[in-house]
Amino acid sequence: MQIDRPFPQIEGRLEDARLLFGRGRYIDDLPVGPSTLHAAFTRSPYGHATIAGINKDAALAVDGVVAVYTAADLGAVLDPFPSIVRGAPEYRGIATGKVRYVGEPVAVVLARDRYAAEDGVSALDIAYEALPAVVDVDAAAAETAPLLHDDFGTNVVWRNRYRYGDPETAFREADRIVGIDLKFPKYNSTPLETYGVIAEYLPETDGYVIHGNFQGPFSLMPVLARALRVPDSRIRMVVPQDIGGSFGIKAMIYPYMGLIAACARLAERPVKWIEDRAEHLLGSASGTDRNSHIEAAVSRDGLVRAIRMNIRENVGAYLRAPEPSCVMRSLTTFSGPYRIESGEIEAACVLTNTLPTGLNRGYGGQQYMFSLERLMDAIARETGIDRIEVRRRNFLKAAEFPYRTTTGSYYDSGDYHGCLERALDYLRNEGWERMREELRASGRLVGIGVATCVHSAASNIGYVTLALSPEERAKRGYNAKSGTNDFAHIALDASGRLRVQIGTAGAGQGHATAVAQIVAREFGLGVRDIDVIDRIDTETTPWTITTGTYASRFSVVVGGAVQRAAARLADHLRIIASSLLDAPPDQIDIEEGMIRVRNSNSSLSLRQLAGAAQWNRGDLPDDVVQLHVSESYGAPNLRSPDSENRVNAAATYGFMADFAMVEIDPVTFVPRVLKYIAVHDVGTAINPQLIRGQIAGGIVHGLGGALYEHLDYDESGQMMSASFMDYLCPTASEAPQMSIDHFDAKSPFTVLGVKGCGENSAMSAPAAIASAVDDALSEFNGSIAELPVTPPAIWRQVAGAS
Amino acid sequence: MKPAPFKYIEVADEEALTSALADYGDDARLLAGGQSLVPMMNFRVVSPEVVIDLNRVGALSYIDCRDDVCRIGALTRHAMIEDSDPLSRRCALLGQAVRNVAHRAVRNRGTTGGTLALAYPGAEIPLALMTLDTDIILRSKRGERRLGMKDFVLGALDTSLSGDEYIRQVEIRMPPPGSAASFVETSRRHGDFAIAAAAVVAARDDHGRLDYLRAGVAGGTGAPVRLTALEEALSGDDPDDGRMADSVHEAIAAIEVFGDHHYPEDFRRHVLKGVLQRALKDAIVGSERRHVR
Amino acid sequence: MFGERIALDLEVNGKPLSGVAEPRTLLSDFLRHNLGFTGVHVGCEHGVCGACTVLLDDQPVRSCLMFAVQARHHSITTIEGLAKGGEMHPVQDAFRRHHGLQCGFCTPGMVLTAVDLIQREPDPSERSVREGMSGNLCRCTGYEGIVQAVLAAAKDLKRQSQSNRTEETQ
Ligand SMILES: Cc1cc2nc3c(=O)[nH]c(=O)nc-3n(C[C@H](O)[C@H](O)[C@H](O)COP(=O)(O)OP(=O)(O)OC[C@H]3O[C@@H](n4cnc5c(N)ncnc54)[C@H](O)[C@@H]3O)c2cc1C
Ligand code: FES
Ligand code: FES
Repeated sequence: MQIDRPFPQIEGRLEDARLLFGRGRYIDDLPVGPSTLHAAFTRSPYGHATIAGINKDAALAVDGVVAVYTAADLGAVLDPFPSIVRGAPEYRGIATGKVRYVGEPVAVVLARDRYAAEDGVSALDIAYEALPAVVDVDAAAAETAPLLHDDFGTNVVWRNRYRYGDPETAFREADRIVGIDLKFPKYNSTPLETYGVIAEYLPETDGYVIHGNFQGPFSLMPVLARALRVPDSRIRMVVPQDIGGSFGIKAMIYPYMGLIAACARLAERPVKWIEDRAEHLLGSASGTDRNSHIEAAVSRDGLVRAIRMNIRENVGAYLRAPEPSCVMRSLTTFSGPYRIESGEIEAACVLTNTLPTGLNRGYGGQQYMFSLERLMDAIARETGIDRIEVRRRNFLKAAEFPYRTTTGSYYDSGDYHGCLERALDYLRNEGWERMREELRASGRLVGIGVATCVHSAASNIGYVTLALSPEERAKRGYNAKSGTNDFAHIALDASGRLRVQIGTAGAGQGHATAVAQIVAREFGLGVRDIDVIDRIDTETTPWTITTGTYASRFSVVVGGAVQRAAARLADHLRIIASSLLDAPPDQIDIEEGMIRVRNSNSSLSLRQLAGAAQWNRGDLPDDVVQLHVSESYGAPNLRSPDSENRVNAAATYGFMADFAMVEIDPVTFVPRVLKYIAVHDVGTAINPQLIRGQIAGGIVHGLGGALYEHLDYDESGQMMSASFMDYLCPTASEAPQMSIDHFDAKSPFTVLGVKGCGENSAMSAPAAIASAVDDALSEFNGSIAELPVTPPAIWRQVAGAS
Repeated sequence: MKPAPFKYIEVADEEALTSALADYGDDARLLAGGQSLVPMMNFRVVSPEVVIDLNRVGALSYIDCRDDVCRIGALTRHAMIEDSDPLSRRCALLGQAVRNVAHRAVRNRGTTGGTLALAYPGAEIPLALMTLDTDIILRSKRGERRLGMKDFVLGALDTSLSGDEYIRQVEIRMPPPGSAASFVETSRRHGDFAIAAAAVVAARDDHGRLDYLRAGVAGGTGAPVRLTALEEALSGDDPDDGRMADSVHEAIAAIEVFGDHHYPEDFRRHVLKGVLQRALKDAIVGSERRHVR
Repeated sequence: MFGERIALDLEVNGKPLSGVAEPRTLLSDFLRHNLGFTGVHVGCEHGVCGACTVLLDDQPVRSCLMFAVQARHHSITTIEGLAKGGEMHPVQDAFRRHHGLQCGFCTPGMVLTAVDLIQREPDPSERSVREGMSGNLCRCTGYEGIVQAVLAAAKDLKRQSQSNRTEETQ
C-alpha cells in the first residue's frame, strides 16, 4: 500500500541527548580488560630510506613494554593487502626493507599502557640510510626520478585512457580550444576523532574480533580477510555506536585493523590502538593531489563539444585499494551538468614519497569539479560570455531527463536552470553584487564565484572496475562487479513498539533520526515512537559488500530498504488485523498507533495487535505472518561497465548551485570567505535540518581545501603540516555566513525520491571559492590554477601583474 | 602523543622555586601555564628529567599599576591581563596584544613568564613588551637581575635566561596619558601566531606634536624588533603618507627577516610593512583625536 | 624516580574523588580512563582542537595540556556535570534545537566553552560568538548550527536571569 504523508519532523535528533550529556560511546570509550595491551607505532622519520637494521633490545627493556613487532614478525600472520590493480607493488601497511614516506609504520610496540608503549617507541633503535625522495607527481613520473619500488621499474603505477563519443572531430571542428593547467592539493577532511582499533584473535575458531571506527565500504572487509588469511565471516567487525566523524578517511583504517589484529594474534592478547593526531596527519590517508591539463572544444556561442583531460594523480607511496578509484569520477561524470558529448581522458597514478591516499568526502569529486568549473570560467573569460551564461547555455534541460551521458551515466532527473535561478534569487535578495561594489569602492578586493555541479549518490561498485581494461574484464574467470545494496530489519515487540535495525556505521549524519522518520511516516506515528539500532556487529547485523556510510548512499539505499521493510511490516499488520477485526486488509488503515477499519468504528491499538500476535499466535490463522521483517534493497539501473568503458556510476544524480563571496585583504593578502549560497537538488527532503547540516559541513570542508588545509611536504619528504598548528582547519571565525536551501527534483528511480547529500559542497566549494578569488583579483587578471590559495600565492599574482 | 616520564616537583613559594632550580637547573623545566611546554612534551620534542611546577606560587600572580609603572608577576595568566581594567586604561597595547593570543581556554592558563621565556617568533605579548619600555626581573639563588627586553630576548626561542634562573616580574613604564595604541597582526586564522604583527603607541605634547612614539614588529624577525630609527623619524609633526611610507620602507629594509617554507622572506617583508603602516596610522590618528578632545 | 605514582584528591562535577597517577599522566587521560568521564574527548593532545575542554574552577582549560597532579584540590566540571537533575543546561538544549552537533565529538568542549563565553559576554554578537568559539574545532557542522545555538542560548539565559530577577524582587 502506498502511503502519502509528509515525513514527520522533530526538533533536534534522536541521537542528540546521548551526545550532549557526554554519554556517546566512541571507540576509545569502550571498556577493555586488564590483559589488553596498548600499541604505539614507530614511524619513519625519513621520506625515503633503507632500513639498515632494527635492534629491539633497548625497547624491550623499557618498563611495561611487552613486545616489539616489525614487518618480519607480522608477516607470519599477515599477507599483503590485495590491490585492485594486478601487479601493483606490495602493500603491507608496514615498511619492509625500505621506508617510503614520513610516518610510515616501521615497528609496533605493545605495552601495558600507551605511555609505556611510547617509551618503547622512543627507545627503539632503528638505523636508516637515507635515499633521495620525490614528492611532486610530475617529478616522480620522470624517468630519472628515484624509484619508490625498485622491482616495479617505474613510479607510474597505473595508467589508462578513456574515450567517449568522437572527441577528434569535435576538436577539429571547434571554433576555439580553451585549455588550462591545474594543481589540486593534498588534504583530507580530518575527523576530530582519530582512528581506533581493538582487536583480539580467537584461536578456537581461527577468527578475529575487531572493534574499530570503520565506516565501510565493507568491500574492504574481504581485502582485510585475505590479508589475515581467514574467510570473511571469521572477522567479527564491531563498529562502536558513535564515530567522531569519518568523511571517507575512516575507510582507510583497514590496514591498521590488519596490523593490530596481527599483533593480537602474535601477542595472544587483545591489543588496543588509538591513533594520535600526529599519526593521523602523517600516516592515515588523504585525498589525492593532482596535476592536470584540461581543454575544451568550444563553439562560437560558448557550447562545449568535447573535453580532453590529462590527469596525473599522486597516490602516495603505495597504490592501495580502493585506488585508483579516485580518478573514476573524472571519467564517469566528466561532463558534469553540461551536455558534452565527447571526451578523452588520459589518467595516470604516480607513486611519490608521501602519505598514501584514499577516500576523502566526495572521493574524486572535488578534483574533477575543480577542473571542470575552472575550465568553464576560462571559457567565459576567453569568449567574453558571462560566467553564468556560459553555464546556462551548456546545461542539460529539465525535459531531457532521464539522460544517458556519453559515459553511460544515467542522470535520473533535474532542473538545473531552475535550481540555479533559486540560488541567484538568494544572491539578488542578499544584495551580493551591491555589496561587492561597495566594498571595492572602499578599497577592498572582493569577488563572487560560482560553481554548478552534479553530485552523484549511491555509487555503483562497478565503477571501480574501470581501472581494468575492457579486455581484462572480458577474461574468463573475471568476476564482474556492480550495484549497491543494503538491509533493514524491523520488528514490533509485544508492547507495540517498533524497532528498526540498520547497519550503516554513521558518524553523526543522524541516521537513526531519518530512519525513525521514514518508519513513523509509514505507521502514522511520532518520530520518538520508533527505536533505531544503528550499530554494526557483523555477527548479528546483516551487511553486504557495499554496506557503509560513503558516497552519500544512506538515504538512497538504506532509506530504500527501511521504507520497504516498513511497508511490508505494515502489510503484515493489516493481515493480522484483518483476522482480528474481521475486515479485508485493504480496508485497514494504520495511524497514530491505531489500526482502524476504514469507515467504521472498529479498531485496535498497535499494542493490542502486537499482544495478540505475540501471545495468542495459536488462535490466528495459519497464513498470518510474523512481526518482524527483513528487507534488502538494491539501487536501480546499476550494471557492470560495458566493453566501451561505459557505466552508470551511481543510482541518482543531484545538482548543486553554489556561490561564494571572498574578500582579500589588499595589504596582507589574507583571503576570507564572507558568504556562501548553496542551493542543492537533493530530491525528496526527509529531514531538512539534517540536509542543511550536511551541506554546511561540506562547505567548510571545501573551504578548508580551498584556503587553509594542506598536507604539504618539502623536497626531502618532510611533512610541513604534521600538527594542528600547521594543518589549518577552519574555525568558526573563518566559516562564512551561509544561505542553504534545497531544491526538490525527485528521483524517479529511488524508493523515496531521494538523491543523497552527504558530500555535496565538500566537492563544489573549492571550485566556487577559486572562482571568487579570480573575481576579487580581476583588476590584476588573477586566475587561480592551484589550491590552497595562500596569502603568498595571491601576493605573487598581484606582484606579477603590477 | 604522551610525555616521557619525569620527576615532578611542586613548589609553593619563591624560596622553594629558587632552590629547586639551583638543584636541578639544566635538567629541569619550569612548568607555568603549560600551554607551550606540555604540547612539546606530548610530542616528545622535549623530555625534561625534572618538571618544576610553579603554579602554586600565588605570589607570582599579580598586576600592580602604580604611578607610571605597571608590574606584572610572571605567573599572571593572559586572561588576567585581558580582563584587567587598569591595564586596559593605562596600557592598552598589552590588552590588544593579548586578545590576539590563541583562545580563551589557552589564555586561562598561559602566563606572562611562559611566553617571555619561550620567545616564540610571532608571539604577541613579547612584541608588546618590546615596544613599550619594559624591564624583565630575573631571579636565581645567585641573586636578582634586571634586563631590558632587548637584552632579554635574543632571537627566536632564545633568551638570556640561565638554567637556574626564573622570570619573576615584568615592569612596564607606561605610556603618557592620552596615548593611543594599535596592535595589528595578520594570521591565516583567528587566534594563530602572527605571520606578521606590528605594535605602535603614540602620544602628543600640549601643542599636538607627536612627542612619544613607540613602534615594534614581529613575525619572521627572530626576536621582536623595536624600530627606534622610525620612531625618531616620525616624531614631531604628523607625517604625511609619503613620509610615513618611506620611513616604513626603510625600517623594514633595515631589519633581518627570515623566510620559511610557508612564507618567503620577501612576502614577509611586504606584510610587515603593511601591518606597520596600519598600526602607525591607527595610533597616530587615535592620539590626535584624544588631544582634540 | 621514574614510574613514581602520586595520590591525588580533586572534585569532579561537585563530588570529591581521588585516584593515583604518574606525574606525566595527562588530566584528559586521568579523567577519561581513571575516573570514567569519557565525555572528555581527545582530538589532538596539543591544545588546538578544544575537544578536551573542561572547566577548572569554572574556567575553561585544555585538559590535554595539564597533568593530572596539577588538578589536586581543584574543582573540575566535565560535560557529564553540566545538566542538573537530568535537565539539559540551556546551552545543551540550544545545541539540540539548532542542530549544533553531528558526530558529537567536539560537542562537550563546544558546550563548555559556550557556557563560559556567555557568562563573560551575556549579549554576544555573531562575530564575537564566532571568535569566542574559534578555539574549538568542529569538522562536521560547518559551525552554522553551533553559532546559532550559542546565540540562542545567550538569549535564553538572559531571559532566564531576567525572570529570576523579577521573581526575586517580587
Ligand atoms: C592552541 C594554542 C595556540 C596558541 N597561540 C598563541 C598565539 O597566537 N600567540 C602566542 O603568543 N602564544 C600562543 N600560544 C602559546 C601560549 O601563549 C603559551 O601560553 C605561552 O607561549 C607560554 O606560556 P605558558 O605559561 O603556558 O608557559 P609554559 O608552557 O609553561 O612554558 C613555556 C616555557 O617557558 C618556561 N617558563 C615558564 N615560566 C617561566 C618563568 N617564570 N621563568 C622562566 N621560564 C619559564 C618553561 O620552562 C618553558 O620552557 C598558543 C598555545 C596553544 C596551545
Ligand atoms: S585534545 Fe586537548 S585541545 Fe585537542
Ligand atoms: S559535531 Fe563532529 S566534530 Fe563537531
